[in-house]
Amino acid sequence: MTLAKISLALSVVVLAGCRDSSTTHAHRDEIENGRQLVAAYGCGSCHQIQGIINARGRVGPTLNGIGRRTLIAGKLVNTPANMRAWLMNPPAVTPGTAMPDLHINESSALAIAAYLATLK
Amino acid sequence: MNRRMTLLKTVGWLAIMSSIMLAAGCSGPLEMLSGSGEPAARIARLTWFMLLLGGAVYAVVLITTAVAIRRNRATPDDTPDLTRHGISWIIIGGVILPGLILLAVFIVSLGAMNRDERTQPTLTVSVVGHQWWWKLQYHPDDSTRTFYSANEIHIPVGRTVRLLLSSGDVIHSFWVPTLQGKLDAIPGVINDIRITADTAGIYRGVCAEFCGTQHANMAITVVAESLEDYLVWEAGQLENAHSSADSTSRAGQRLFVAANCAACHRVRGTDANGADAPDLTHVASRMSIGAGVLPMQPGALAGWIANAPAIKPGVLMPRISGLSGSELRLLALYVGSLK
Repeated sequence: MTLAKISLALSVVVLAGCRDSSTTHAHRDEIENGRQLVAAYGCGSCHQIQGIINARGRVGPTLNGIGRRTLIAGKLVNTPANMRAWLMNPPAVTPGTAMPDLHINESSALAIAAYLATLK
Repeated sequence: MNRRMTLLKTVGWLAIMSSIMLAAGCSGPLEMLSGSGEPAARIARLTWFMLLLGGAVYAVVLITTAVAIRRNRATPDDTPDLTRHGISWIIIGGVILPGLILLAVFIVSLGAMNRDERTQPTLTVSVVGHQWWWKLQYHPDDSTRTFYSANEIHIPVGRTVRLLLSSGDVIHSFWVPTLQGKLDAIPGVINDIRITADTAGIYRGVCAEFCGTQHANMAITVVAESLEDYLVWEAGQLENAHSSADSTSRAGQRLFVAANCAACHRVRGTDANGADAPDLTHVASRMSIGAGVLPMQPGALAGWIANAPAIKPGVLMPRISGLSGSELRLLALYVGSLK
């Protein structure tokens, strides 16, 4: 009886290892959220983005490989925080840029930054 | 023998699985078998009638074949049975029966194609296919109420709407599967089609006749809303473009004319009076850019204005070069304000 209980408890512990830890799960949700936002904002009208439908734009730079690029807008170090700042108000970073201020809120900007970081 | 049975079973399962997969394709935004409104219901009834009739014919053919294989297997020495009994099988089963079935299908199809003239249409919209967008004119026969739009047809729910289909270049085909069967839009011809949406909602449609490289990017959307909502929308569309007093908007409006947008596009109430391309008086009130290619967003508008051919190769709208980054932003801001 006790043996059965122990083995049951053990298998529960083992099975728990099959689930992702909650942080990576949340991160994956954020990336997917970011991907959907990129489609909804129509970023593809200026940028080429692999995996986004109709993202064939040739106005701004391609976003393929943006996750490995050194600089954002040829100016900011490519970190999630800088990407967030750039997305939230591009003309504030680079006056005269064609990229408009889309009034993206902070959580959306972070989600988009998380998604863009996956484009290696 | 055993192997043959296994093969037969596999084939049978494949047939069942593929028909399930085919049936699964009947749901989604372009669903046709549980349509909205009488015209769509007629198409669905016709589809089921033909499917069941065809299935019955198929079953009878299979059973007859199976019986023929099991009994009276022919030998190489046999001569064909040319007696009355043998010939009558061919006459009845091969000529008379198919003839009757085809006649029944023909008559039922005619009934489904028949336009319902009893209900007077509440609204008439002229729908002219162009490479690759749909030009819409509401109330084409009433100059006091007429206005132009593109790619997005608003209709009052539960009312009969008459669409006058035509084309400005090649043959297109108007198909909103959940509302109606497809009907060609032909240059020089006006095809009259009626739609009724029983429930409010957004119905998607496509061009259903290959019309050039961007045929796949020629979506049409039908927005069915309550009569009150529709009338509010219509009153808004009838108004000229709202001229904003602020300097940014005025600068954008000047740029619109200076950048030659006005050569093709019209913004009612301004100097922009081009008539070849979509009317932009209330463009930002629509849901998509370029007939369903991009969502209506200020950023997406900027990209479309600057380089539409990159997104929709072959589109008549040229790449607009010569605009600086801030000019492009200004222009997109102005176009995005045309609600």
